Amino acid sequence: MALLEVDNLSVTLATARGPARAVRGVSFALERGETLGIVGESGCGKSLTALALMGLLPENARATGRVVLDGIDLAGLNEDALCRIRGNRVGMIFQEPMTSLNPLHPVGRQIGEALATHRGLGGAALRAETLELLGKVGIPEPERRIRSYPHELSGGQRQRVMIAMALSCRPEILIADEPTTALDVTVQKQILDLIRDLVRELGMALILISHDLGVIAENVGRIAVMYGGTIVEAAPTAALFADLAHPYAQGLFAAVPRVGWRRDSNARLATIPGVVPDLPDLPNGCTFAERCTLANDACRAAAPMPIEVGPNHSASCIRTDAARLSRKSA
Amino acid sequence: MTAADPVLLVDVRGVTKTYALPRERLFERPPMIRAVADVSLAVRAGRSLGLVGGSGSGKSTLARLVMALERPTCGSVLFRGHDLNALAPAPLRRLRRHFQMVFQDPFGSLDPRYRIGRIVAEPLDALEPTTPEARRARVVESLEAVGLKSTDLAKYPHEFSGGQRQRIAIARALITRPELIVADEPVSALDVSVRAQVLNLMRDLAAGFGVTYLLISHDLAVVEYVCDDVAVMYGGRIVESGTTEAIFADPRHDYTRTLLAAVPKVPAIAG
Repeated sequence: MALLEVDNLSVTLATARGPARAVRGVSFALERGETLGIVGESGCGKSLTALALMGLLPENARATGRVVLDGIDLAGLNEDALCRIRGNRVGMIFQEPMTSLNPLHPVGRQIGEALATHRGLGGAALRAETLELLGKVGIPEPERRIRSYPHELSGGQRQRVMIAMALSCRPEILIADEPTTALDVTVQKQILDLIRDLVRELGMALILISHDLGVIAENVGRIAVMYGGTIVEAAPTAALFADLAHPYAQGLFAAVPRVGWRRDSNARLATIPGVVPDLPDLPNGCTFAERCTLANDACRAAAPMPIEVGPNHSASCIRTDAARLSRKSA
Repeated sequence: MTAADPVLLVDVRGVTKTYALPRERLFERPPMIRAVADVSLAVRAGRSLGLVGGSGSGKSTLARLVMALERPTCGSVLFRGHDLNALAPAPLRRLRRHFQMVFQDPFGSLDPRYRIGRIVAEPLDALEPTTPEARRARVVESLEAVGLKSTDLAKYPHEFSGGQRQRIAIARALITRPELIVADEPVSALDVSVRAQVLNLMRDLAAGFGVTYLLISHDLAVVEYVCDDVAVMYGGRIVESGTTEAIFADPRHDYTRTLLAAVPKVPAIAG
């Protein structure tokens, strides 16, 4: 049995313009030690999916479907039971280390919170464990930094503190939602290297969420591409780049400028016509149909189910044959 | 570089810019920070220059100095031979038709109370009195150049997506038919698929309207796509500069190497 099984997860948001189906029937499984990347543009539902996994959805959201962690259906749990899992078996790193940390407390105390709550540590043992965590995430002079307030740390160091908090209870799954988006590329590399090393060392499973294809490609074994609330394509990283089957995934992957790319070919970037629609405006059929050059009436009539297009490689599109053909002729 | 030397648009000569930080003690002078330290830089017509570096490296301050939005603490900034900080306000305003700016935030840089027609015409209105017909014709021309419609004139900014707003900001910069557009992170707030549209537009405008860019970006792939030359900033100084090919193929400075090595690589897709 997989460590985490997500089955037909949907999230509906109550917006000023009526209900919006922000996540639509997302299903995936995560094995122990597996690394999964979720990539997509803003509004595709990737962050809401992560929040739904943890029962941290905003007030105006309602989730349906099943999230099963190691045999326990999280949907059936009350808040107390969820709190015992959150931060304990599943650790999280958020995008903005400035707002995710409490500015009024020293970082040592914030790291210690989870240790005290979940592992019952206190006194000298708590301090020793906190110092060890700070050292593990590469913060210099842990004895001094344990008393620092968030504003005294750089953005990279704050993100290291967030990682220390996420790791404090040796979680089985680490969820990192845009962990490096606010950081410089050089600091981004340090943080991603740190996450990768820790995931390997501690044998955690990783769900890495990012809009940056490069960040995803370099750090996970398997990628899920999201658009309009659904996973449109999922495959092992190398297989996905080798054989993109969904028209949106093809368009997205071709639209990214690559270093060392233009000068060879002088080719233009491929673009996807139109814009990402607002959530309440998304159609009921295939959510990408409005922007897809291959879409026909059948695409607009019903949401496509995922189909196998290769080993461990699925795409939610009824026109993958045409899409793969057009890619090869392009 | 061609035999006939292209026109020197921007000539930054030994510019330093220091800012005072908040005072820490009542009876001491406030600490100073040197955002830009003795930087010299030239932008020639037809050779778009990319300015790259980490946050706090001084690249945005340098952009504001080139736009004469800041006065240098010492050194001078020349546009087509005119010292921007020696000009009186009126001639400086007239000179501004030749260099315009596009900002990062497509939401904060357009006044939500004005219609697109007025927003786009603003640089023109600041320059010279025109007839309403001529003014409208210029606005439409500018909007069409960035792929928007003349019917968009009467709409408000909130009716547009992020990518469309950035097109509006570019249309506003284009309306005076400038030789130089200073663009500070123009696509970093945009989604990948929309970013590609704006980047292609920027390249088309360079070819079609002879616009040269001074492009500030932390994204090396974006700079490579748009710019002919690159200058790398670190700690307020330009540590390395040269043609895009040379810098990307054979970086000499340690920081440039670190920067290039840190960029996550997107694998090629099979086609």
